[in-house]
Amino acid sequence: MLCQKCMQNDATIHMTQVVNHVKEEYHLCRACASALQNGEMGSKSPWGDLFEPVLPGPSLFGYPFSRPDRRAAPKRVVCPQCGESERELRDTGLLGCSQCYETFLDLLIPVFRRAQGHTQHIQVPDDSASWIAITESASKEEENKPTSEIEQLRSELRTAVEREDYKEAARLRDAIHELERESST
Amino acid sequence: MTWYLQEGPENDVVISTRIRLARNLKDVSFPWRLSPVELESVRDRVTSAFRDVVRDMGSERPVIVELNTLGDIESCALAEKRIISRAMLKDTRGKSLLLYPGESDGILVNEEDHLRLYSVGAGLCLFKTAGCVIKCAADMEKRLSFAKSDRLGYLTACPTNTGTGMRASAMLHVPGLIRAGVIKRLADRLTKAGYALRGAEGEGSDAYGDMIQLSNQVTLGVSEEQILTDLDRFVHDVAEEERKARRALYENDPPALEDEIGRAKGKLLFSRLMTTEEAMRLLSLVRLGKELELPEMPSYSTLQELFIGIGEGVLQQAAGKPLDPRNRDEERARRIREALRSSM
Ligand SMILES: [Zn+2]
Ligand SMILES: [Zn+2]
Repeated sequence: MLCQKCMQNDATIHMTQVVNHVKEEYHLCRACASALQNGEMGSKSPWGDLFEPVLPGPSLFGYPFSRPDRRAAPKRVVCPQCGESERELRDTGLLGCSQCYETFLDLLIPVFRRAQGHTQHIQVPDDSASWIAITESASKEEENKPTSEIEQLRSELRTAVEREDYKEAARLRDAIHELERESST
Repeated sequence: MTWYLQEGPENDVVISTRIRLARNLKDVSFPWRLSPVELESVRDRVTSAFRDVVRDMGSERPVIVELNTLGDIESCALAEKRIISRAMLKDTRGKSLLLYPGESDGILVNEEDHLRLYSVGAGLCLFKTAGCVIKCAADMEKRLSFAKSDRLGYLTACPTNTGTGMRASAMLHVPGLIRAGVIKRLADRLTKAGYALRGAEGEGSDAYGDMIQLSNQVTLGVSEEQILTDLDRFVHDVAEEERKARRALYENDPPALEDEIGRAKGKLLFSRLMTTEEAMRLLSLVRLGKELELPEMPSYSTLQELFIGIGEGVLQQAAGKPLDPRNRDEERARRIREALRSSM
Protein backbone atom coordinates (compact mmCIF):
# COMPACT_ATOMS: atom_id res chain seq x y z
CA MET A 1 0.00 0.00 0.00
CA LEU A 2 1.33 3.43 -0.94
CA CYS A 3 1.63 6.37 1.42
CA GLN A 4 -1.42 8.63 1.10
CA LYS A 5 0.65 11.79 1.28
CA CYS A 6 3.69 11.33 -0.95
CA MET A 7 2.27 8.41 -2.95
CA GLN A 8 5.82 7.11 -3.35
CA ASN A 9 6.91 5.16 -0.29
CA ASP A 10 5.16 2.17 1.23
CA ALA A 11 2.73 3.08 3.95
CA THR A 12 3.97 1.57 7.19
CA ILE A 13 1.95 3.65 9.61
CA HIS A 14 -1.77 3.07 9.77
CA MET A 15 -4.06 5.12 11.95
CA THR A 16 -7.75 5.32 12.60
CA GLN A 17 -9.60 8.29 13.88
CA VAL A 18 -13.23 9.14 14.44
CA VAL A 19 -14.32 12.49 13.12
CA ASN A 20 -17.93 13.59 13.20
CA HIS A 21 -18.85 10.00 14.05
CA VAL A 22 -17.21 8.76 10.84
CA LYS A 23 -14.24 6.43 11.05
CA GLU A 24 -11.26 7.74 9.11
CA GLU A 25 -8.14 5.81 8.16
CA TYR A 26 -4.71 7.22 7.41
CA HIS A 27 -1.94 5.26 5.71
CA LEU A 28 1.42 7.00 5.71
CA CYS A 29 5.11 6.27 5.29
CA ARG A 30 7.39 6.94 8.24
CA ALA A 31 8.75 10.17 6.73
CA CYS A 32 5.34 11.67 6.02
CA ALA A 33 3.97 10.60 9.39
CA SER A 34 6.80 12.30 11.22
CA ALA A 35 6.57 15.36 8.96
CA LEU A 36 2.92 15.54 9.88
CA GLN A 37 3.70 15.27 13.57
CA ASN A 38 6.36 17.94 13.29
CA GLY A 39 3.81 20.25 11.81
CA GLU A 40 5.12 20.52 8.29
CA MET A 41 1.73 19.71 6.90
CA GLY A 42 -0.29 21.96 9.14
CA SER A 43 -0.14 23.31 12.62
CA LYS A 44 2.30 22.00 15.18
CA SER A 45 1.04 19.35 17.46
CA PRO A 46 3.08 18.95 20.61
CA TRP A 47 1.24 15.75 21.42
CA GLY A 48 2.71 13.62 18.72
CA ASP A 49 -0.15 11.43 17.65
CA LEU A 50 -2.64 14.24 17.56
CA PHE A 51 -3.76 14.50 13.98
CA GLU A 52 -5.72 17.26 12.44
CA PRO A 53 -9.25 15.93 12.28
CA VAL A 54 -9.33 16.22 8.54
CA LEU A 55 -6.14 16.43 6.58
CA PRO A 56 -6.40 18.96 3.80
CA GLY A 57 -4.84 17.94 0.52
CA PRO A 58 -5.00 14.70 -1.42
CA SER A 59 -6.28 12.55 1.43
CA LEU A 60 -9.45 14.62 1.47
CA PHE A 61 -10.64 12.85 -1.63
CA GLY A 62 -9.43 9.46 -0.46
CA TYR A 63 -6.94 9.31 -3.29
CA PRO A 64 -5.54 6.81 -4.08
CA PHE A 65 -7.65 4.67 -1.78
CA SER A 66 -11.07 5.81 -2.85
CA ARG A 67 -13.51 2.98 -2.71
CA PRO A 68 -14.57 2.16 -6.26
CA ASP A 69 -18.30 2.31 -5.51
CA ARG A 70 -17.92 5.86 -4.24
CA ARG A 71 -16.35 7.14 -7.42
CA ALA A 72 -19.61 8.20 -8.86
CA ALA A 73 -18.18 10.87 -11.13
CA PRO A 74 -17.23 9.54 -14.54
CA LYS A 75 -13.57 9.58 -15.50
CA ARG A 76 -12.04 12.46 -17.43
CA VAL A 77 -14.37 15.07 -16.05
CA VAL A 78 -12.91 18.52 -16.61
CA CYS A 79 -14.33 21.78 -15.32
CA PRO A 80 -15.58 23.77 -18.33
CA GLN A 81 -14.72 27.06 -16.65
CA CYS A 82 -11.22 26.63 -15.21
CA GLY A 83 -10.08 23.39 -16.82
CA GLU A 84 -9.37 21.50 -13.59
CA SER A 85 -9.45 17.73 -14.06
CA GLU A 86 -10.61 15.10 -11.60
CA ARG A 87 -7.01 13.99 -11.30
CA GLU A 88 -5.89 17.51 -10.30
CA LEU A 89 -8.70 17.74 -7.79
CA ARG A 90 -7.63 14.48 -6.17
CA ASP A 91 -3.97 15.52 -6.22
CA THR A 92 -4.43 18.94 -4.66
CA GLY A 93 -7.62 18.57 -2.66
CA LEU A 94 -8.50 22.03 -3.96
CA LEU A 95 -11.25 23.20 -6.27
CA GLY A 96 -10.25 25.47 -9.14
CA CYS A 97 -13.25 27.79 -9.34
CA SER A 98 -16.84 28.12 -8.21
CA GLN A 99 -18.03 26.19 -11.30
CA CYS A 100 -15.94 23.21 -10.05
CA TYR A 101 -18.49 22.79 -7.28
CA GLU A 102 -21.09 21.84 -9.88
CA THR A 103 -18.68 19.91 -12.09
CA PHE A 104 -17.45 17.71 -9.25
CA LEU A 105 -20.53 17.70 -7.02
CA ASP A 106 -20.76 13.89 -6.99
CA LEU A 107 -17.19 13.64 -5.78
CA LEU A 108 -17.68 16.40 -3.26
CA ILE A 109 -20.73 15.06 -1.49
CA PRO A 110 -18.88 12.17 0.23
CA VAL A 111 -16.05 14.57 1.11
CA PHE A 112 -18.52 16.95 2.74
CA ARG A 113 -20.14 14.08 4.56
CA ARG A 114 -16.79 12.97 5.93
CA ALA A 115 -15.12 16.29 6.62
CA GLN A 116 -18.14 18.36 7.57
CA GLY A 117 -20.82 15.91 8.61
CA HIS A 118 -23.27 17.90 6.45
CA THR A 119 -23.87 18.35 2.73
CA GLN A 120 -25.99 21.47 2.72
CA HIS A 121 -25.48 25.04 3.83
CA ILE A 122 -27.84 26.56 6.37
CA GLN A 123 -29.40 29.67 4.92
CA VAL A 124 -29.43 32.58 7.28
CA PRO A 125 -31.16 35.83 6.37
CA ASP A 126 -29.12 37.22 3.54
CA ASP A 127 -28.73 40.73 4.83
CA SER A 128 -25.99 40.79 7.38
CA ALA A 129 -27.90 43.32 9.47
CA SER A 130 -29.65 40.66 11.53
CA TRP A 131 -26.34 38.94 12.04
CA ILE A 132 -24.68 42.06 13.24
CA ALA A 133 -27.54 42.58 15.67
CA ILE A 134 -27.03 39.08 17.10
CA THR A 135 -23.31 39.53 17.55
CA GLU A 136 -23.77 42.96 19.07
CA SER A 137 -26.16 41.81 21.75
CA ALA A 138 -24.04 38.73 22.46
CA SER A 139 -20.86 40.74 22.64
CA LYS A 140 -22.43 43.13 25.17
CA GLU A 141 -23.03 40.08 27.31
CA GLU A 142 -19.42 39.01 26.86
CA GLU A 143 -18.20 42.38 28.03
CA ASN A 144 -20.47 42.54 31.03
CA LYS A 145 -19.23 39.24 32.35
CA PRO A 146 -17.03 40.08 35.31
CA THR A 147 -14.38 37.48 36.02
CA SER A 148 -14.45 38.05 39.76
CA GLU A 149 -13.89 35.22 42.15
CA ILE A 150 -17.57 35.13 42.99
CA GLU A 151 -18.56 34.83 39.33
CA GLN A 152 -16.11 32.02 38.89
CA LEU A 153 -17.53 30.17 41.86
CA ARG A 154 -21.03 30.66 40.50
CA SER A 155 -20.09 29.16 37.17
CA GLU A 156 -18.41 26.26 38.95
CA LEU A 157 -21.56 25.80 40.95
CA ARG A 158 -23.59 25.56 37.74
CA THR A 159 -21.31 22.88 36.33
CA ALA A 160 -21.27 21.00 39.64
CA VAL A 161 -25.08 20.95 39.67
CA GLU A 162 -25.10 19.86 36.03
CA ARG A 163 -22.95 16.86 36.76
CA GLU A 164 -24.98 16.21 39.92
CA ASP A 165 -22.02 16.59 42.21
CA TYR A 166 -24.04 17.87 45.15
CA LYS A 167 -21.25 17.62 47.68
CA GLU A 168 -19.11 19.98 45.61
CA ALA A 169 -22.13 22.17 44.94
CA ALA A 170 -22.77 22.56 48.65
CA ARG A 171 -19.14 23.50 49.23
CA LEU A 172 -19.30 26.10 46.46
CA ARG A 173 -22.57 27.52 47.73
CA ASP A 174 -21.00 28.04 51.16
CA ALA A 175 -17.98 29.70 49.60
CA ILE A 176 -20.23 32.05 47.61
CA HIS A 177 -22.21 33.00 50.72
CA GLU A 178 -18.99 33.63 52.55
CA LEU A 179 -17.81 35.98 49.81
CA GLU A 180 -21.17 37.75 49.64
CA ARG A 181 -21.05 38.34 53.37
CA GLU A 182 -17.52 39.75 53.06
CA SER A 183 -18.47 42.14 50.30
CA SER A 184 -21.59 43.41 52.07
CA THR A 185 -19.71 44.37 55.23
CA MET B 1 -5.20 49.79 20.00
CA THR B 2 -3.90 46.43 19.00
CA TRP B 3 -5.43 43.42 20.79
CA TYR B 4 -2.45 42.26 22.81
CA LEU B 5 -2.20 45.50 24.74
CA GLN B 6 -5.72 44.98 26.03
CA GLU B 7 -7.23 42.71 28.64
CA GLY B 8 -10.38 40.84 27.73
CA PRO B 9 -12.98 38.53 29.29
CA GLU B 10 -11.68 35.26 30.79
CA ASN B 11 -8.17 36.66 30.45
CA ASP B 12 -6.89 34.36 33.20
CA VAL B 13 -7.10 31.48 30.71
CA VAL B 14 -8.03 32.83 27.30
CA ILE B 15 -5.34 34.92 25.64
CA SER B 16 -7.08 35.84 22.41
CA THR B 17 -9.96 35.18 20.06
CA ARG B 18 -9.61 35.11 16.31
CA ILE B 19 -12.19 34.74 13.56
CA ARG B 20 -11.55 34.52 9.86
CA LEU B 21 -13.92 34.39 6.92
CA ALA B 22 -12.96 32.97 3.52
CA ARG B 23 -14.52 34.69 0.50
CA ASN B 24 -13.88 34.49 -3.25
CA LEU B 25 -14.76 36.71 -6.15
CA LYS B 26 -17.47 35.41 -8.44
CA ASP B 27 -16.33 34.49 -11.97
CA VAL B 28 -12.62 34.36 -11.18
CA SER B 29 -10.77 31.07 -10.57
CA PHE B 30 -9.38 30.50 -7.07
CA PRO B 31 -5.86 31.89 -6.49
CA TRP B 32 -3.92 28.64 -7.03
CA ARG B 33 -5.31 28.41 -10.61
CA LEU B 34 -4.36 32.00 -11.52
CA SER B 35 -1.36 33.41 -13.38
CA PRO B 36 0.68 36.20 -11.75
CA VAL B 37 -1.09 38.78 -13.93
CA GLU B 38 -4.52 37.47 -12.95
CA LEU B 39 -3.51 37.44 -9.28
CA GLU B 40 -2.51 41.07 -9.55
CA SER B 41 -5.84 41.95 -11.12
CA VAL B 42 -7.69 40.28 -8.22
CA ARG B 43 -5.45 42.12 -5.78
CA ASP B 44 -6.20 45.45 -7.42
CA ARG B 45 -9.97 44.86 -7.41
CA VAL B 46 -9.98 43.89 -3.75
CA THR B 47 -7.65 46.72 -2.76
CA SER B 48 -9.74 49.33 -4.53
CA ALA B 49 -12.93 48.10 -2.82
CA PHE B 50 -11.07 48.14 0.48
CA ARG B 51 -9.96 51.74 -0.03
CA ASP B 52 -13.58 52.75 -0.64
CA VAL B 53 -14.76 50.95 2.49
CA VAL B 54 -12.14 52.57 4.68
CA ARG B 55 -12.80 56.00 3.17
CA ASP B 56 -16.53 55.60 3.91
CA MET B 57 -15.63 54.77 7.50
CA GLY B 58 -14.13 58.26 7.57
CA SER B 59 -10.80 56.82 8.60
CA GLU B 60 -7.27 57.84 7.94
CA ARG B 61 -5.29 56.12 5.22
CA PRO B 62 -5.50 52.32 5.40
CA VAL B 63 -2.33 50.25 5.54
CA ILE B 64 -1.73 48.20 2.41
CA VAL B 65 1.21 45.80 2.42
CA GLU B 66 2.28 43.93 -0.68
CA LEU B 67 3.95 40.81 0.60
CA ASN B 68 6.50 40.57 -2.23
CA THR B 69 7.93 43.95 -1.21
CA LEU B 70 8.58 42.88 2.37
CA GLY B 71 12.02 42.07 3.71
CA ASP B 72 12.75 38.93 5.73
CA ILE B 73 12.51 40.67 9.08
CA GLU B 74 9.14 42.30 8.36
CA SER B 75 7.62 39.07 7.03
CA CYS B 76 8.96 37.13 9.98
CA ALA B 77 7.45 39.70 12.35
CA LEU B 78 4.03 39.42 10.65
CA ALA B 79 4.19 35.64 11.03
CA GLU B 80 5.10 35.95 14.72
CA LYS B 81 2.13 38.22 15.23
CA ARG B 82 0.09 35.45 13.57
CA ILE B 83 -1.18 37.85 10.94
CA ILE B 84 0.18 35.77 8.08
CA SER B 85 1.25 32.13 7.98
CA ARG B 86 4.79 31.11 7.18
CA ALA B 87 3.40 29.01 4.34
CA MET B 88 2.10 32.20 2.76
CA LEU B 89 5.66 33.51 2.48
CA LYS B 90 6.78 30.69 0.21
CA ASP B 91 5.19 32.37 -2.78
CA THR B 92 4.27 36.00 -2.30
CA ARG B 93 3.29 36.94 -5.86
CA GLY B 94 0.08 38.95 -5.95
CA LYS B 95 -0.46 38.52 -2.21
CA SER B 96 -1.16 41.46 0.00
CA LEU B 97 -2.31 42.38 3.44
CA LEU B 98 -4.93 45.09 3.97
CA LEU B 99 -5.12 46.43 7.52
CA TYR B 100 -8.07 48.32 8.93
CA PRO B 101 -7.22 51.15 11.31
CA GLY B 102 -6.59 49.74 14.78
CA GLU B 103 -4.52 46.78 13.60
CA SER B 104 -6.86 44.11 14.90
CA ASP B 105 -8.81 43.54 11.66
CA GLY B 106 -7.50 42.88 8.21
CA ILE B 107 -7.81 41.08 4.90
CA LEU B 108 -5.28 38.71 3.38
CA VAL B 109 -5.56 38.77 -0.38
CA ASN B 110 -4.76 35.78 -2.62
CA GLU B 111 -3.90 33.29 0.05
CA GLU B 112 -5.80 30.03 -0.49
CA ASP B 113 -8.88 32.14 -1.22
CA HIS B 114 -9.16 35.59 -2.79
CA LEU B 115 -10.07 37.14 0.54
CA ARG B 116 -9.39 35.94 4.04
CA LEU B 117 -10.92 38.52 6.37
CA TYR B 118 -9.87 38.26 9.99
CA SER B 119 -10.36 39.93 13.30
CA VAL B 120 -8.53 39.37 16.60
CA GLY B 121 -9.62 40.34 20.09
CA ALA B 122 -8.17 40.03 23.59
CA GLY B 123 -9.55 37.33 25.88
CA LEU B 124 -12.67 35.36 25.01
CA CYS B 125 -14.87 37.53 22.80
CA LEU B 126 -16.13 35.31 19.98
CA PHE B 127 -19.29 37.25 19.26
CA LYS B 128 -17.72 40.68 19.35
CA THR B 129 -14.87 39.55 17.10
CA ALA B 130 -17.28 37.80 14.73
CA GLY B 131 -19.35 40.97 14.63
CA CYS B 132 -16.31 42.95 13.46
CA VAL B 133 -15.26 40.55 10.74
CA ILE B 134 -18.80 39.93 9.48
CA LYS B 135 -19.32 43.67 9.18
CA CYS B 136 -16.06 43.98 7.24
CA ALA B 137 -17.17 41.18 4.91
CA ALA B 138 -20.61 42.73 4.43
CA ASP B 139 -19.05 46.09 3.53
CA MET B 140 -16.80 44.42 0.98
CA GLU B 141 -19.72 42.41 -0.42
CA LYS B 142 -21.52 45.68 -1.22
CA ARG B 143 -18.71 46.42 -3.68
CA LEU B 144 -17.63 42.95 -4.83
CA SER B 145 -19.70 39.92 -5.87
CA PHE B 146 -18.68 36.85 -3.89
CA ALA B 147 -18.91 33.25 -5.12
CA LYS B 148 -21.76 31.48 -3.37
CA SER B 149 -24.55 29.05 -4.03
CA ASP B 150 -27.91 28.40 -2.39
CA ARG B 151 -27.03 24.84 -1.62
CA LEU B 152 -23.45 25.26 -0.40
CA GLY B 153 -23.15 28.84 0.81
CA TYR B 154 -19.81 30.59 0.26
CA LEU B 155 -17.59 28.67 -2.15
CA THR B 156 -13.94 28.27 -1.19
CA ALA B 157 -10.89 26.62 -2.74
CA CYS B 158 -10.77 23.91 -0.08
CA PRO B 159 -13.98 22.00 0.69
CA THR B 160 -13.13 22.12 4.41
CA ASN B 161 -14.11 25.83 4.38
CA THR B 162 -17.24 25.73 2.22
CA GLY B 163 -20.46 27.11 3.65
CA THR B 164 -19.83 29.83 6.18
CA GLY B 165 -16.12 30.05 5.32
CA MET B 166 -15.71 30.76 9.00
CA ARG B 167 -12.92 29.55 11.25
CA ALA B 168 -13.31 30.72 14.83
CA SER B 169 -10.55 30.05 17.31
CA ALA B 170 -9.46 30.86 20.82
CA MET B 171 -5.93 30.72 22.18
CA LEU B 172 -5.72 29.40 25.73
CA HIS B 173 -2.94 29.27 28.29
CA VAL B 174 -3.26 25.86 29.93
CA PRO B 175 -0.17 25.00 32.05
CA GLY B 176 -2.40 23.15 34.52
CA LEU B 177 -3.95 20.83 31.94
CA ILE B 178 -0.61 20.17 30.26
CA ARG B 179 1.02 19.19 33.55
CA ALA B 180 -1.99 17.06 34.44
CA GLY B 181 -1.49 15.22 31.13
CA VAL B 182 -5.10 15.46 30.03
CA ILE B 183 -4.72 17.39 26.77
CA LYS B 184 -5.00 14.31 24.58
CA ARG B 185 -8.25 13.28 26.25
CA LEU B 186 -9.68 16.78 25.81
CA ALA B 187 -8.58 16.84 22.18
CA ASP B 188 -10.32 13.55 21.46
CA ARG B 189 -13.52 14.80 23.03
CA LEU B 190 -13.48 18.00 20.94
CA THR B 191 -12.58 16.18 17.73
CA LYS B 192 -15.62 13.95 18.03
CA ALA B 193 -17.79 17.05 18.23
CA GLY B 194 -16.22 18.60 15.13
CA TYR B 195 -13.88 20.98 16.95
CA ALA B 196 -10.10 20.87 17.06
CA LEU B 197 -7.54 21.39 19.79
CA ARG B 198 -3.95 21.89 18.83
CA GLY B 199 -0.70 23.23 20.20
CA ALA B 200 0.20 26.80 19.46
CA GLU B 201 2.60 27.20 16.61
CA GLY B 202 6.18 27.56 17.73
CA GLU B 203 9.55 26.93 16.24
CA GLY B 204 10.21 23.29 16.92
CA SER B 205 9.61 23.36 20.64
CA ASP B 206 6.85 21.33 22.21
CA ALA B 207 3.79 22.89 23.80
CA TYR B 208 5.06 26.35 23.00
CA GLY B 209 4.38 28.59 25.96
CA ASP B 210 1.78 26.08 27.28
CA MET B 211 -0.71 27.47 24.77
CA ILE B 212 -3.37 25.62 22.84
CA GLN B 213 -5.82 26.68 20.20
CA LEU B 214 -9.45 25.58 20.02
CA SER B 215 -11.28 26.00 16.73
CA ASN B 216 -14.25 24.79 14.74
CA GLN B 217 -13.68 22.29 11.94
CA VAL B 218 -17.16 22.23 10.49
CA THR B 219 -18.19 25.13 8.24
CA LEU B 220 -21.05 23.58 6.29
CA GLY B 221 -24.55 22.88 7.55
CA VAL B 222 -24.15 24.88 10.74
CA SER B 223 -24.93 28.56 11.15
CA GLU B 224 -22.30 31.05 12.21
CA GLU B 225 -24.24 31.62 15.40
CA GLN B 226 -24.23 27.90 16.20
CA ILE B 227 -20.49 27.60 15.56
CA LEU B 228 -19.78 30.48 17.93
CA THR B 229 -22.21 29.31 20.60
CA ASP B 230 -20.74 25.80 20.65
CA LEU B 231 -17.15 26.99 20.61
CA ASP B 232 -17.90 29.48 23.37
CA ARG B 233 -19.26 26.65 25.49
CA PHE B 234 -16.24 24.42 24.81
CA VAL B 235 -13.82 27.21 25.65
CA HIS B 236 -15.64 27.89 28.91
CA ASP B 237 -15.52 24.17 29.76
CA VAL B 238 -11.82 23.87 29.02
CA ALA B 239 -11.11 27.11 30.91
CA GLU B 240 -12.98 25.78 33.91
CA GLU B 241 -10.99 22.53 33.84
CA GLU B 242 -7.79 24.51 33.54
CA ARG B 243 -8.67 26.60 36.61
CA LYS B 244 -9.30 23.43 38.60
CA ALA B 245 -6.07 21.84 37.37
CA ARG B 246 -4.11 24.95 38.36
CA ARG B 247 -5.61 25.10 41.79
CA ALA B 248 -4.89 21.40 42.33
CA LEU B 249 -1.35 21.91 41.12
CA TYR B 250 -0.87 24.79 43.52
CA GLU B 251 -2.57 23.24 46.52
CA ASN B 252 -0.58 20.05 46.12
CA ASP B 253 2.58 21.90 47.20
CA PRO B 254 2.31 25.71 47.36
CA PRO B 255 5.95 26.47 48.27
CA ALA B 256 7.24 24.26 45.45
CA LEU B 257 5.18 26.00 42.77
CA GLU B 258 5.82 29.45 44.23
CA ASP B 259 9.52 28.63 44.17
CA GLU B 260 9.40 27.52 40.55
CA ILE B 261 7.52 30.65 39.53
CA GLY B 262 9.73 32.90 41.64
CA ARG B 263 12.86 31.48 40.06
CA ALA B 264 11.38 31.98 36.60
CA LYS B 265 10.68 35.61 37.44
CA GLY B 266 14.19 36.01 38.82
CA LYS B 267 15.73 34.68 35.65
CA LEU B 268 13.58 36.95 33.50
CA LEU B 269 14.50 39.95 35.63
CA PHE B 270 18.23 39.37 35.74
CA SER B 271 19.36 37.38 32.69
CA ARG B 272 21.58 38.95 30.07
CA LEU B 273 21.12 36.33 27.35
CA MET B 274 17.88 34.52 26.64
CA THR B 275 16.72 32.24 23.81
CA THR B 276 13.11 32.30 22.58
CA GLU B 277 12.47 28.81 23.95
CA GLU B 278 13.72 29.64 27.42
CA ALA B 279 11.85 32.95 27.44
CA MET B 280 8.56 31.29 26.45
CA ARG B 281 8.93 28.65 29.14
CA LEU B 282 9.71 31.23 31.85
CA LEU B 283 7.05 33.70 30.73
CA SER B 284 4.49 30.90 30.82
CA LEU B 285 5.42 30.19 34.44
CA VAL B 286 5.18 33.87 35.38
CA ARG B 287 1.83 34.09 33.66
CA LEU B 288 0.74 31.11 35.78
CA GLY B 289 1.82 33.12 38.82
CA LYS B 290 -0.33 36.02 37.68
CA GLU B 291 -3.23 33.66 37.02
CA LEU B 292 -2.91 32.21 40.53
CA GLU B 293 -2.93 35.79 41.83
CA LEU B 294 0.48 35.49 43.46
CA PRO B 295 1.86 38.87 44.58
CA GLU B 296 4.07 41.12 42.44
CA MET B 297 3.35 39.69 39.02
CA PRO B 298 3.35 41.69 35.77
CA SER B 299 0.09 42.59 34.03
CA TYR B 300 -1.50 40.34 31.42
CA SER B 301 -0.96 42.94 28.74
CA THR B 302 2.77 43.11 29.51
CA LEU B 303 3.01 39.33 29.32
CA GLN B 304 1.04 39.25 26.07
CA GLU B 305 3.22 41.91 24.56
CA LEU B 306 6.30 39.92 25.53
CA PHE B 307 4.90 36.63 24.20
CA ILE B 308 4.69 38.37 20.84
CA GLY B 309 7.59 40.74 21.16
CA ILE B 310 10.41 38.25 21.75
CA GLY B 311 10.27 36.49 18.39
CA GLU B 312 13.29 37.14 16.20
CA GLY B 313 11.30 39.09 13.61
CA VAL B 314 9.54 41.49 15.97
CA LEU B 315 12.75 41.86 17.97
CA GLN B 316 14.84 42.87 14.96
CA GLN B 317 12.07 45.09 13.64
CA ALA B 318 11.97 46.95 16.96
CA ALA B 319 15.77 47.23 16.97
CA GLY B 320 15.58 48.64 13.45
CA LYS B 321 18.39 46.43 12.18
CA PRO B 322 19.31 42.79 11.61
CA LEU B 323 20.88 41.10 14.62
CA ASP B 324 22.91 37.89 14.76
CA PRO B 325 21.61 35.12 17.06
CA ARG B 326 23.76 36.14 20.01
CA ASN B 327 22.76 39.78 19.74
CA ARG B 328 19.15 38.67 19.50
CA ASP B 329 19.47 36.73 22.76
CA GLU B 330 20.99 39.82 24.37
CA GLU B 331 18.34 42.16 23.01
CA ARG B 332 15.57 39.74 24.02
CA ALA B 333 16.87 39.58 27.60
CA ARG B 334 17.07 43.38 27.73
CA ARG B 335 13.51 43.89 26.47
CA ILE B 336 12.15 41.35 28.96
CA ARG B 337 14.00 42.95 31.88
CA GLU B 338 12.75 46.41 31.01
CA ALA B 339 9.16 45.40 30.37
CA LEU B 340 8.91 43.43 33.62
CA ARG B 341 10.55 46.14 35.72
CA SER B 342 8.17 48.80 34.48
CA SER B 343 5.15 46.57 34.97
CA MET B 344 5.67 45.41 38.57
ZN1 LIG C 1 4.93 9.33 2.33
ZN1 LIG D 1 -13.43 25.01 -12.20
